[in-house]
Amino acid sequence: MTHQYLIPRRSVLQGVGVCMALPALEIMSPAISSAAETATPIPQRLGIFHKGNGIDPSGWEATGTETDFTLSRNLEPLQPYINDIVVLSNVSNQAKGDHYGAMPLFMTGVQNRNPGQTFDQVIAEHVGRTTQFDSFQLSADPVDVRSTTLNSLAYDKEGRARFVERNAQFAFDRLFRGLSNAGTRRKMGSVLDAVREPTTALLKKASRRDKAVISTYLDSVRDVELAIEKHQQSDNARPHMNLVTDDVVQLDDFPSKMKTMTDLVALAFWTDATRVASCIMALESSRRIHDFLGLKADFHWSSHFENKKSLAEEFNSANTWYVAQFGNAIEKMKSLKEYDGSSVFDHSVLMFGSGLGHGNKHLGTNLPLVLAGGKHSGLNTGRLLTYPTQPPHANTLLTLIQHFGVEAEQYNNSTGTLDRLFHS
Amino acid sequence: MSGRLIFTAAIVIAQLTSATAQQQTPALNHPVSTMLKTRCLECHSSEARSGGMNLEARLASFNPETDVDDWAKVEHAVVSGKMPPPDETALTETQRQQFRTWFDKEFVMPGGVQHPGPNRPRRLTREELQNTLEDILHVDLRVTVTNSRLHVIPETIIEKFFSASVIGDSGFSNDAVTLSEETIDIQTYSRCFSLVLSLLDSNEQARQQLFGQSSLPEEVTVADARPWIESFARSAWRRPGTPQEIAALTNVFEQVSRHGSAWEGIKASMLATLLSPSFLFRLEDTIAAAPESGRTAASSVTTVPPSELAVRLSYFLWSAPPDEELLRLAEDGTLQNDDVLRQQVRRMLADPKRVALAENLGGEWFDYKKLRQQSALNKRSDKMAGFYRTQFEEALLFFDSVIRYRQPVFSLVDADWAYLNAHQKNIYRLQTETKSFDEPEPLPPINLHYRDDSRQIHTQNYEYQHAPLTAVKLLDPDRGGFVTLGPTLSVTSTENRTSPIRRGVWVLERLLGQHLEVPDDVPDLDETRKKAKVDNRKLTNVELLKLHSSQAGCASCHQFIDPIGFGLEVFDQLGITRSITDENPSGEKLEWTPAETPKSYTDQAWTVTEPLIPGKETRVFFQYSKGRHRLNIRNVRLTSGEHVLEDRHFGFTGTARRDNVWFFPIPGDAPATGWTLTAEIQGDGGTDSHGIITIAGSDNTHPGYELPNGNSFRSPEELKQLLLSDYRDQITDNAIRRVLGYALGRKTLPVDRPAIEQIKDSIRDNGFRLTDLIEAVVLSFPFRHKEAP
Repeated sequence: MTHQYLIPRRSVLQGVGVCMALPALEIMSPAISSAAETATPIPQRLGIFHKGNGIDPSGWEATGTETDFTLSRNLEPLQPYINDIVVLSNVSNQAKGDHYGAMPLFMTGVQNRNPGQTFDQVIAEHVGRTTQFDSFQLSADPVDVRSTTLNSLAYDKEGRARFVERNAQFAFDRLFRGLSNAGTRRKMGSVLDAVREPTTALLKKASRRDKAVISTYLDSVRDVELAIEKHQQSDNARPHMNLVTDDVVQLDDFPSKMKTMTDLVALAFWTDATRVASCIMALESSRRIHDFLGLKADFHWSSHFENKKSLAEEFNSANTWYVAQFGNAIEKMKSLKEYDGSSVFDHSVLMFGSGLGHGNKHLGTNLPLVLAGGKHSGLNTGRLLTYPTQPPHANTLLTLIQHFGVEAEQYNNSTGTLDRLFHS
Repeated sequence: MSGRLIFTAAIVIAQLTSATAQQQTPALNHPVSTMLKTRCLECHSSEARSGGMNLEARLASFNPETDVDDWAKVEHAVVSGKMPPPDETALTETQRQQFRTWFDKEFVMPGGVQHPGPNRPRRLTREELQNTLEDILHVDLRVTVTNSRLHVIPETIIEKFFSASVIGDSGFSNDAVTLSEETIDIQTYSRCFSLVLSLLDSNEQARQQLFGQSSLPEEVTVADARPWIESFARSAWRRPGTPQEIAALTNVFEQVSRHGSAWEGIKASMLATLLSPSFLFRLEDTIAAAPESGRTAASSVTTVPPSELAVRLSYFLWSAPPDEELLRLAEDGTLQNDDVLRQQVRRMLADPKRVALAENLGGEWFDYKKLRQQSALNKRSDKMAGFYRTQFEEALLFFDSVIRYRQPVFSLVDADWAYLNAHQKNIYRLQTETKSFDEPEPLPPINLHYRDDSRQIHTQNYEYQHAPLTAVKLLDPDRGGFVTLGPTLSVTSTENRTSPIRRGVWVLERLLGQHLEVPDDVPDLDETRKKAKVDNRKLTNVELLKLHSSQAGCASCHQFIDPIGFGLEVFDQLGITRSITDENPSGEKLEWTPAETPKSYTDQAWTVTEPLIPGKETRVFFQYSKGRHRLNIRNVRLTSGEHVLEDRHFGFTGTARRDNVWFFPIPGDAPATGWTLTAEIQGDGGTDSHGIITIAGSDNTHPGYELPNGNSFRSPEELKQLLLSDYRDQITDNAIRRVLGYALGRKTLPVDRPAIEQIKDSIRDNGFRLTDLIEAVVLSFPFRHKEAP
């Protein structure tokens, strides 16, 4: 428990007492931070934001030198944060891309339709032991029934897709309510007791095939039991918990849902529910029509703009909007203050992008990638980093893995790490 | 508490990994191996792996169990003559025969006996979960549907918690493999079930059925609670609980009621019952079957005991647990009797619960299930949401009518009826008559959206009434059957464009049962364009696609996909017939400027002066050049001497953009000249309508769309006829495989071939009726047998 992130509960409560009537979280947080006294290390977080369908290079590519560069049309919404971001250029060398392999490419560096452990899970194994959730997965888009790899960013060691929460209200409850309540925990504990014993008996007489299925089920039971145990141990010591209200959940339309999802990532970090989170903003091969932007073509169709200007125009508008949503996530994290006055963003490394490069050509080369992070993130921000040798994307991921303290020399097809990405 | 569990789970996982690890099996030692090595390894070695096939590795370590898919591919390539490729020497008939015999021995009838194939535990799909909870808790989870045309069917509690499942190799979401791969999340289950159980708080009737009393006393002793707990476990687990299990559940009741009310305690024990794998999964007893080594031993095959058969049957036909009658027949053992099974299938199909077949089997087979989701997600306009809902209902009722009126599976491809109301007919611009079926004893109708007769669509005085859809006879032969049904044309498109490729793929996969895979080595469209640029050619998209498709890697699929897809381009993205495909058709122009448009259908005639080409098709377009009144046109004829050509297609013109087209294949022995064009026209008496009629001759006639077998078609009607004549076997095979795969929850394998043949034989006499097929699947060997894995 050396890394446990504690804020004296009493001081939190005092803060709440003063500010209870105020509706907005942003206003409340400074009052808290001054009330807190004990300095414990604030953890590093990893947030991953993915949107499918790739980009149009003419709308995406930033221009200029490493330190003096101009953001492109797509990246324009990040202008206010230009000193907090790193734009990567010419990373990833997988010549062929396709939608089914794009999410795995984004998360493992390899286009494998049966992906192995994704890089966020490697990091989560290392930094997620003490938090309520070792990692948390969200998606703003509903399921595409054609394939799992169109719907999941995170895969565990056994290659099983991690659970993705798609309902904002449920995600909120899971993060901030539910097992946080002692009564619920007690009831859940007895219920699971009744489930576990007979299941173990069932397992003894089951065939090999049945065993495999039942053990997956038991894994899930174990996850809940671990969660209960963690809750009991930490005794509600998660910071800022009392400040989170479910006003955050807005469900009317897609932009509101997106805002909720990105806010939830920020709040999950702030309350130390998890230190690794991923959010699918748009599925691979998403056919959403962004009518709220006045667009008419569906996303996937417009990604195959060929030589049609109007389609390329629509595609770029949609992509710019997704980048703006990433900007919202940055903004939200900047607004959430830690007890020492720094922001959540200061301690976060965020990665935004797609597992497809050129959307029309289905390329796995030169992936659109933006990293963002504040002053304690270690990121070498305010840069446009171009890599002439076109290193595999696994190098980016290995760099991140090492940054989070995992001792690893190799990750999938990595050939080294990306230089200049972090302050050495 | 959890420490012990983690320990147990860890042991299990350790055992699993050792058991499932790729075991090195010995090399194939059979003359076939030599043949394959000499003839195939040049391209299919471990290095070359042409087409993704590493035959060298398959031969070096022969494992018929894990590599069955690869071997089935090899068999298909060898037996069909696809491999070796055309530019190599073909295998001799003897070699092929030798391979086939060997394959049958290893994969079709291992050990010389019939095998039921693998039987994995199946987790309940979200549809099964919903139906099951409704049945065992006596609550309504399905939402209220109204008769407003703009009404979207909202998500149910279950649908809110659980996303749609990914479709498995069987083509259905009830596939045991994909269901077991999906992440199970106990917290989601627990929250969902808690919410469903809380519905009991205010439902006296349900409590009466569950506990024999509508309200529980405040004090409930363990002895009082035990029978309730036992009986609920019995219905939830589809088997009686063991004493150990019941004790655990009673313990939950005790613990929770100590801190809260007795009612809370009861609900907690019910929650524990529902969270058990015995509820979430359909676990069959595998102990009865013989031990591991028995892959080739006939003794490892056992019949499915009646209690499990009842569960298989009810989840197949109803996506729900067995009812009282099935349980009774299972208990006295008579369910295993062929006649009893047949009689039960008939009883169950007559029950409104058979709606599950149209929702799940039909819905996923023909992909119309998506329309319901599309309706719910459609925030763009109420009108579109309502339209998709109606299309979902059209498809659902059509699929069910094939069962209800005991029609052959071929009517899924082509039929002369559809389910429409006046509103929908107008949208599609269809002319219809009353439909009557020959079937003397049709099954009772299903209750759209619900599983029983008692719930009704909520009727109110809505401004936009959704009139019920009824069976109508279609007069346009292009229409009818799933191929040209509005819902199909809609799901293969996005909201604002059609996709010929997706339509072609749909026909190939859903009707002919071909499984398409994107090969690794296909040059993409862009490279094709670059190549064309080098040749200094500017191509339209269709030409580009043609060029792309003619390349070797692409042709094998595209030669099938493209003609079908482009042939169906006469329908737009909503399934409405497009008027014309050319903007300005060339040809002879005839003027039409009536003094007054007739109010009743009246013949109008024109003399065609330019010659028509015998043996080719002539198209006639009616276009408005002026005027804004609607004009109905029907019964268009071309006559010359004794030759009378008719196109009875109904159409109308409204604004200048609304055009219409009629087709006339001119017979080879007909004269080129002397033609008169006649049409029945009806208007509103207005005088401001002026029109142009274009007689488009051979310049504009389409050469037809050629299928890989050399036959070509010009209209959707001809496409359907071609499919039914040239690909009839594939259509029947696919229907059998789909229904069998749905029933077994797995894709069909080589071991299923004998069963498929038996099913085919048994349904042939009555013309391959879908009801007979369903019955034959229930009576089939794999449905009634299992073996130890």
